[in-house]
Amino acid sequence: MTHVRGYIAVFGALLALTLVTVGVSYLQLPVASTVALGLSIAAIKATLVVLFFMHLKGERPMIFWPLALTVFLFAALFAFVFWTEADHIVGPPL
Amino acid sequence: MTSIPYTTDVRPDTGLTNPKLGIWLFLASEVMLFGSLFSAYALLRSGAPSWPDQSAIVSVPLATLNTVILISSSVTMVLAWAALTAKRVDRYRIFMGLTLLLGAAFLVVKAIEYSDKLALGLVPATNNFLGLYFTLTGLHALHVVGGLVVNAYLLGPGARMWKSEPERFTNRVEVAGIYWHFVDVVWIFLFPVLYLL
Amino acid sequence: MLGALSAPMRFLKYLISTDHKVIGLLYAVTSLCFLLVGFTLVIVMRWQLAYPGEPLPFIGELFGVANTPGGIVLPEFYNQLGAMHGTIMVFLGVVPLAVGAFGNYLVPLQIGAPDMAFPRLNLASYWLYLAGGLVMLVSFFVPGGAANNGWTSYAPLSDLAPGHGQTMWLGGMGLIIFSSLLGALNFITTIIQLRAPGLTWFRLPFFVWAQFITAFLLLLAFPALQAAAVLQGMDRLAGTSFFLPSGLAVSGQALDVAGEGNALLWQHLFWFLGHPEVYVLILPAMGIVAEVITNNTRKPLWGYRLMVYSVFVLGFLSFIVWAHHMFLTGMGTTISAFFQATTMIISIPSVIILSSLMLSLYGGSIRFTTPMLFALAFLPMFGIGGLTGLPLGLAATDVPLHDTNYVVGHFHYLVAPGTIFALFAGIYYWFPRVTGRMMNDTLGRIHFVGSLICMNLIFMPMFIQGLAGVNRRLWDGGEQYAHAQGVLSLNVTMSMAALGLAFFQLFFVANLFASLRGGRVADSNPWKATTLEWSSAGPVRAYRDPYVYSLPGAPTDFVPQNQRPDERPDAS
Repeated sequence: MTHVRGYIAVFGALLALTLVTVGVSYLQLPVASTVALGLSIAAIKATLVVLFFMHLKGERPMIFWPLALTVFLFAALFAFVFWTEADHIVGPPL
Repeated sequence: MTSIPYTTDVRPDTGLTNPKLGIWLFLASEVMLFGSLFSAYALLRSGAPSWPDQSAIVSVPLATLNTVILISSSVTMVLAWAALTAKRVDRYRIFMGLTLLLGAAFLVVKAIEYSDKLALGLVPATNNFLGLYFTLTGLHALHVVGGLVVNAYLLGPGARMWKSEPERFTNRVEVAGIYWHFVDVVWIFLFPVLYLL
Repeated sequence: MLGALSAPMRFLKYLISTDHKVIGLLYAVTSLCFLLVGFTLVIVMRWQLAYPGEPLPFIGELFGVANTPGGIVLPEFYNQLGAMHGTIMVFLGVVPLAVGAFGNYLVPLQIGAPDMAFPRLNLASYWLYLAGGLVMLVSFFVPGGAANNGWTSYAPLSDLAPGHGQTMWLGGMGLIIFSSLLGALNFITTIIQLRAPGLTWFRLPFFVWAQFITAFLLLLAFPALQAAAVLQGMDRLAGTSFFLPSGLAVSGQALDVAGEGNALLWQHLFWFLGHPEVYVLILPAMGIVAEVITNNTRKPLWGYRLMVYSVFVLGFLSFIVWAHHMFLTGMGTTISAFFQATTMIISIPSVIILSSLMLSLYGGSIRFTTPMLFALAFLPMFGIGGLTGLPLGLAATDVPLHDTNYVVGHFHYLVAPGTIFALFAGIYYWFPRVTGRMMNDTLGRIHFVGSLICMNLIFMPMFIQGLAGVNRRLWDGGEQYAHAQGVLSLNVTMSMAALGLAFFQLFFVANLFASLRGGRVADSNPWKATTLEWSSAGPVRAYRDPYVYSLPGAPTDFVPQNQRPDERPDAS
């Protein structure tokens, strides 16, 4: 049961980060900062879940490579769609 | 069925069982699925001349509650697996049961959210934000339902495997857990994107 | 035991079997039927193109007054035929045959595995595929008919298409995609985890490598179309406007939707799948051709390792070229240059693989068996298809060629005398492994010569028409356009050739059925091949590379992969 303390610790961190992310949203920061902060905190929370709950920390390379490829392709889809459509984006800056 | 090698034992050179590799590959496709939808959100929002103040339309308190509920269900899920590795079936049942309860609670809160919107005449067709909100959270909720079905099976009739093949059963719970945690990860991103930004 | 059951009961047992060979055959039969359906659709189209507005002989009235009043193909029906021909051929015909049938049957055998890693998931994949296919077929019979917005279903037209056909297309695609995702993870897990002892990565037959990369393409690209289908489903059913821009009017009436959507979003998501999809179409074919060539030249593949590295690079690059289908959508010059560059670069591994296959012939002891004829023809046909893609991949030359028949000719060269020829080669080649009998050579050669000639007569004129500016998807073949008049007569040539192609497939169908019962009985390894699918049953272990042919000093001109080092080969 030695893992259990680790899981509870991660749980605590996740709860704390949830409160932080909600708190930050009430600060009414400029949009770009809100987006950056919100997504960064979400990324940290997600990383904690993936590494510790999903046991990716200490997992085999054969799992890492397909996941790394996936992350790259998601980034490529996101980025290239934006880059291609950038000239058409007429709305106010985010 | 167990004549397929490496269903329960790990293959020495990869260090993996088939189900462990399989679930991660499935999740890779799910990352691309939700990733495509997030890309759609980003493109539609940045291309729109105006975008509603999201937190004024959807309920941040309810969603915060749901975030806490889902994160808690993730903890109970991993504790359920940990209990099995420690051969404590009684603890497993408690934690798995809690996971199911929390998952169901998530869906109840979601239903409340949806009915609140519909009562105000706010439907997917109202604007693209609401369209994306309903589509993204709806697809996510379908994934929650799928996870609950699997978990209910593993608490109910599927738990019989603990008697005959405890290690294989433990692995099944781990694999179901990995899926369940992914559903939590998607929500971790949905929450700020749809409610807070 | 099964023989004691009545025929219908035995049939039901096949439908619920989790054995990869049975599932492979289920895929084979179903996909061949869908190929026949898709082919029939285009025969009807080709009649209309050759003789626009003239009644379709014999079968014209069969399609009903809504589609062919007086036997004349209506434009709306022509569009249904076009959209469903593409959809059925790509998603229900070629890929299920190449991956679901050939892959399922052969991959476990070639890697010495008892079955796929997840046999029940395998069966579920088949059922989802069948369900999706049935939804697509049924869509023809709903009011308004089947989807009629091209296989690419571009928004906003597809968003607004009346009737249920397009919605059923979305639902059918959802089922097909889910089937493919489950299948893809099954293939990847199987190849990584279930290789027999001694089968290291670089001892795998190239066919297995091709299926491995194909599975990754399916796994990571299809979800984008799944997402797009969900979004378009919401547009059609829930009134959202994800793909509907503001201010859109239909027939003079402004649409009552929220607007602010982006039609190009559909194109991005579709082609993110669409481009890897065409590599899904070609990679298994390259795998089959590699197997047939090495076996019928009696020498190892030239550049095996180079081919493996190339297929990795090809798979990876295929994900970042997709916007070359969108050069005319108004993208900036920088991003256009990026996609042009990646498109040019992707031709390198493609050419390396083609060249390696050609160089494999040099110095070989070539046996012109029926499968080898198809495999040999694949090489120049794939070459034509690939080369004609180059002007499409460069934005400047793509401007006059986009959406013309040139494009149609380009991709059909790759799929028809390309992939489908490879699939024919595979059927003639592995038929004895599946049935224990050989297919008839004479019928096979007639099938080959007739198909090769007819396919070239169908698709070569398309380049000429495209260069003259004839648009694709025109229900009357361009009859109303002045610039098309000079090349209109080619429509008749192509349609006659299409009928000829149909005629020559009869030889193939007859051969299949006749050989099932009366084909020459074959031993367990009639082609004297080295790969594991030809070895007798028993615990499998691999001791050497996959293509040890004509080894100097060996007693026979082939050494099977699983033959023990100290063992003498079978005397046959």
